This record gives sequence, structure tokens and C-alpha cells, in this order.
Amino acid sequence: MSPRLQRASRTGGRAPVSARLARSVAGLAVLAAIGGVALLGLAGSGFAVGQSASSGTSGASAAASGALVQSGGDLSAGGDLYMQTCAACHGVQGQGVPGQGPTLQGQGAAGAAFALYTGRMPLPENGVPSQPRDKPILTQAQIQLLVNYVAHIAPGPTIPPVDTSGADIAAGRQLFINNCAACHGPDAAGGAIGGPGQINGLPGIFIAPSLHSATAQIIGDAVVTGPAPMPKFNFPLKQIDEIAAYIKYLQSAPTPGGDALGGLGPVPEGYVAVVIGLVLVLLFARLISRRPLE
Amino acid sequence: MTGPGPAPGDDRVHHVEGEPVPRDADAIEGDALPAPGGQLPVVGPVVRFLDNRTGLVTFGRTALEKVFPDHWTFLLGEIALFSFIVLLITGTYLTLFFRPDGTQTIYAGPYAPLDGTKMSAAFSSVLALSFSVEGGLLARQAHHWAALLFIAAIVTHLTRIFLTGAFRRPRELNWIIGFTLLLLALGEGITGYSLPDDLLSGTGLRIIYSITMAIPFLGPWVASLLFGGLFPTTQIISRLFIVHVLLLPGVLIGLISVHLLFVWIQKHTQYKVPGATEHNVIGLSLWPGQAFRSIGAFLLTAAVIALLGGLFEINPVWIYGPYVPYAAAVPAQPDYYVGWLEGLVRMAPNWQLTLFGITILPEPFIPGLVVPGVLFTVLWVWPFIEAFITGDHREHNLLDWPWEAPWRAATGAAFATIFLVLLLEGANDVLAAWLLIPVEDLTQFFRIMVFVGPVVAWIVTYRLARARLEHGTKPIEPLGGIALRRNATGGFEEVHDRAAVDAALGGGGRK
Repeated sequence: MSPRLQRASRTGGRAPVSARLARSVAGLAVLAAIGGVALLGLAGSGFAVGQSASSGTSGASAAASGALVQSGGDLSAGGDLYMQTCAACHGVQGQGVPGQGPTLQGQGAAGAAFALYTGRMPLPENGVPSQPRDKPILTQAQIQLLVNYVAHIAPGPTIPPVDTSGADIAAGRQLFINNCAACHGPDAAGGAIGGPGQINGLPGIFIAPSLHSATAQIIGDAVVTGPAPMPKFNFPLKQIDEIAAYIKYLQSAPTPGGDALGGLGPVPEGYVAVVIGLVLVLLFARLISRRPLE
Repeated sequence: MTGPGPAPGDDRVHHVEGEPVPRDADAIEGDALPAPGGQLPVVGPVVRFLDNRTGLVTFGRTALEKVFPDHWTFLLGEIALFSFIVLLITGTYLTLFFRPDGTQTIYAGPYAPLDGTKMSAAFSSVLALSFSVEGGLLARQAHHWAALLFIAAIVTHLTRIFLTGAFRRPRELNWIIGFTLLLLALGEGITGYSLPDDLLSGTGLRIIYSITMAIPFLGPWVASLLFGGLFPTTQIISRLFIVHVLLLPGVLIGLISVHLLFVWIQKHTQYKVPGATEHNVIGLSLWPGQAFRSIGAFLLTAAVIALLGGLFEINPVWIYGPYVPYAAAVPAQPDYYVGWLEGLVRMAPNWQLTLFGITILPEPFIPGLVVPGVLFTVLWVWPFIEAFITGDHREHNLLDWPWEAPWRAATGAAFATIFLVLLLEGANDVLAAWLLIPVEDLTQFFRIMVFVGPVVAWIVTYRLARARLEHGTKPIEPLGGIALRRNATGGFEEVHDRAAVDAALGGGGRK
């Protein structure tokens, strides 16, 4: 056999403890270095978008009342922003551009608010609409202008005034399990969905996202508009409140049994059983046995 | 050490079974002689009384001097046994509170999101176990983690047996018993997973029901007989319960006893260490050597299970809610040890054979029962398959190293690859969401890998084993260069005594 294999088998034998320790330490050092670079990168990008992000999230609740939408914002300013930011793909009248972006007809204020407040729109460079929700790209004031303008050119559902205070969580749980959990999971941790994976000829959506960071308002917007492959639900406002209340409950629900392992069920459980449980008992077995007689 | 047997100064007590063991002949003859514990006022007479009637002392001495070969891989089976003991202890506690009752009730307990929800009494009792019973959640979680560890330990144990050829004559029967124990453990896992009657376990039961329905011609009758009617039935929980806590554990305990009896009668196999022959056993005696090691293994296994049970949430049934036949949630997987079967059903095309309007082979009969049946049957009777292929019908008490039978190691790797690919396919939606790959693409990939993977694994393993077998390992080369020593005046002088250098560097080189 080749010298390469001989070398492999030689180092594959029992190395001295110090050498193994050195290798582990070296590995940890590399990991730490990678982690450090990643953290720096995150911090940098956080700094760049921090301003708009913080104002955007607070804006979601401001939009909740729908008062700003009803009062009619500055349509001409909204129109200007729409032409700069949206029209290239969605068309000047929101009619869509083949191969570029879908029509906005029927989306209304709720559809626009969902796409803009979750950061799905405007699309980041090389982005796909299936990307999990992110911080808003635009400021709250800009989003408000666009929401008003889209409601004007592409009428559709208005923003439901979701109010989770006092909503029946048990009723929300039933609604959630019957209507939402088949794609978003019983723990709202998200999951894969099948299907053609293409929307308007564009890279498609095959993930039902985690709802663990969704606001009550975003949940309401999604329910009434049915973004992308999600069906549109005609729930009365009371039921939307209940569903949102249950999802908010799940987001901060206690996990009495310890770490919830992502709320993803037996797959991570099996992983932990083998990678932590089995590996630990094997290590212990090795430790309490001595070397075979040599 | 060079010669056979322990070197002088080795603190371990080594026994060589199969050679005359010096013992005090007086101690095993006659009833008036001092028995163990003879000095004590109560124990002595009791032991003597029992010895007169049962020959306890003779047996006890033999037992305490029983020799256990000394290698950590020989603890794998013990770890499985100890996980099983933890399962019995935690399971007994759970049966005190679990109600195997499928009748519907309205929940009124401390968990608010389920307040007023219709559910089976069984599910309600699991909620009470989790939220109201002292230590109930810990016991539930420890029981579940112990089950996952139990099967992992069995599979690791069987893998060791397979790769070292420990199943060869005269131990073919014990392999079959051991593999049957794995099947029983899988049965325990599936029934236990189904008992809480939550949304996830009900989904699993529906799959089992559907696979049973797919048995050609007999399916509907068999399914109706097992489930007590059309799915979902109220009887199924109580039926599964009695299988889970009485029938399967009973058979398991019986077969484990036979399994250990076989090890006792046939003696343990051992690795090819110096002094080991086909006719002796070298290792620690049960007392005082192996007993402490086994107790340690038991305590550590229990500790790992308790650690998992306390730190990681497993099967939070309150999140899934009670089973209702019209709902489903993703991701919906069985526990990992059935994950490969889930993967088979997920990846198989929905082909079925219909002749003259009669469905001869309903789907998913082939992936649900035929393929698993073939895979398991091959492994189950493997000792006879191997003896037939190699023509080797001799007795083997010395183990092969895995590379000493390259084609066996390669075959084991191929089987492991099949099960691994199927297991990953069983988690295809979780992997798809994690890797951001469409779930259909992933399934196509695994459909190819389930055929290509084992072939590649076979070839690679075979070549590696051959290389190891033909070339062996090379000893670590001695250090090059020269060695210096600082002398009393602060200068340096070269050391020419190689052995002294090695000793100073921590005994470098090999024994």
C-alpha cells in the first residue's frame, strides 16, 4: 500500500496523551479564532444597520393601530420612494415584472407591512425571498410611506389591529395546532415545506420560518395576506388575537425539562443521546478500564 | 512486558482461567468447614445452612473467581444492561401515575394553554406526571433518555461483536439472542413512544397502522385485530401499555438471563493479547476486580442518564398537545432508532402492484416491512452466513482485530452506511430547513446515496483494512539529533546513553 496509508495508520495508533491534548488545544484555538472573526463581522454589520433596525422594530407596534394608514400619509413622497425601491421588480403600478418580481395586487397595506417590517423587502443583494426574517432594511418612516402607497395602488387587506392582551391562549393553541403547526411546527420553530420551490420563476420558498421572533402585528399581517406559499386565512380578528397570543406565549414559554433543543423534536434529541450520552459512557468505560495487556 | 502473564510488580490481580487455580481444598469440602463470613455470629450459620442444601459455597467460590477479560469494549454490553436497569427503576415509578386509558376527558390542570381541552385520560395523566407529580418530569425524561442510550449501547455492543468476529462458533446462538434483544428493545421503544397519546405519538401510530394495513390481502384484518377497530381507537393505549410494561420486559429479562448464562457457560472471548490462547481466559476475577468496575460502570451510566434527564428537555408533550386525527405537526420524527425505517418510507416511490383491479402489493408494504425484514434477517443469521461463505466452522475464542477480516469489516461498514443514509433521510425536513436545501432535492440525493454509499464504504473499508493487515503499524521512530545535559558548572555536555534520554523524556517509545 502507499506510504500515505502507512503514515495514516501510524498516527492512527495511540498517540501520547500530551500530543492528543496538544491537538485538542490547537483545535480549540482554531475554533476560537474563527468564532472571534465571526463575532467581529456580526458586530460590524450590527453597527451598520443598528440605527434603522432599532427604529424599525418599534415601528411595528406603532403601525398596529392602523391609525397612520387610515389618516393617509404623504402619497407623493411614498410614490417617490416606491419608484426608487420597489418599481424595478414590482412595476410602476404594482403589476409585477415577469422574471423580476410578482404583482402586488391584492397585497394591500398588510402585505406591504409584512414584507417591509420583516426585512424581506427590499431584497438584499443576491437575496431570495425565502430568506428567514431579518431586521427591517428601511426606517419606520420610510416603511410607513410605502405601506400607504401600496395600499393606494394595490388595494388589499388592511393591517389588522392585533391585540393579544386578554386573548384566550387555550383557544389560540387549538387554532395554532390545527392551522399553523403543520408547517411552522408545534413549537413554532419552523420547518421545511415541500412544493415546486419557485415563485414567479424566481428562487422559491421551501421553509416555513420560525416564529420565535415574530411580533403580534407581523403574525396578524401574515394571517390576513398569506405571504408566498402560505394560505390566506379568513379568521375573525378575535381568533387572530388568540393565535398571536399563543405564539407570543410559546416565545417566552418556560421549558421545565431543561434546554428545549430548538423545539425540533426527536432529531436533535437523538443527536444529543448519541453525541453526548453515548460518547460520555464510552469515555467512562475507557477510563475505568485499563489498557489491555501488551 | 514481554512474557505471558502479569509481570512482577503489576498491582492487578490476574487470573488465567483454564489452568489449575490454586485454592484451599478444605474450603470446598464438608459442611463443618468455615464458610465465607464464618467469623460472624449470624452470617456464618445462615451461609452454612444454605450451603448444606444448595452447595452455595462451591458455586460462590467459582463465581467470585470467574475471570473477566480486561478491555473497555467488553463493558458495552454491561452499559446496555445498566441502562435497562435504570429503565426498570424509572419505568416502575412512571406506572404509579400513568393511566393507560383512552377515554376522553376535559383537562383542568395547571398547564393553562390546554385548559378545557378534550384529551384522553392517558394524555392527561402524562401532563399530571410532568407538572404535578414530585420528580415526575425528571423520571419521565430520564426514562426516555435511558431508552435512547439503551438502544445506542446495544447497537454499539453488537457492532463490536460483529467487527471482532465474536459471534463465530460456538457463540452463534448468543448472537441471535443478542440481536433478538435489540428487536425487543426496539419494540419497547416504539410502544413507549406511543403511550402518551400526544399529537406526535399518534402520528407515529397512524404510520404503524398504515403499514399494517398494507400487508397484502391480510392487512385490514391484522390492523383491525391489533388496534381494535378502525384507527383511531380507544383500546390501543391500554393494549400498548400491557405490551410495554409486562410482555416485552418479561421476555427481555428472560432472554437477558439466557444471554448472560451463555456468556458464563461458553466463557468470554478475548483479544489476542500476550498469553491469551484459545483455551484460557486472562483478566480480572469477578471479586475483587471486575465487580468494582461493573459497579462503577453502572453508577456512571446512571449518572449520564440523570444528567441528560435534568439538563435536556425530551418529548415536551404539552407542546404537541393531545392527539387529534385531523391535525399534524412538523417536524414529525420517531426516536432515532426507528428513524431509518421512517427514512425508508419517506424515500420509497409510491409504487404498488395492481392486477385485475386487485392491489397485490399495496404501498408502503415494501419499504415498511419487506426491506427492513430483509436487512434484519441478514444481520440476525449473520454467523451462519459468514460460516457458509468462509467455510470456517472451527471454534473461536480469540477475537479478530477488525482489520484481520477485511471483507467482514467492509460488509459491516456497508450495512452501517445503509442505516445511516436512511436515518438522515428520515430527518430530511429538519436537514432541509437547516441546510436551506429543498427537501425534494435532499430526498433525491439520499435515494442515490442509499445505493452508492454502501458500495463506496465497502471498498474504502476493505482497502484500509487490507493495508493495515499487510503492512501493520510502524513503531514510533526514535528521536533524532543529539541530547544535551546541563552540568554542575553551567555548561552543556552531550548524553550518549539513549535509554537514559528516553527515561528522562517520560519513558518515550513503546513498551
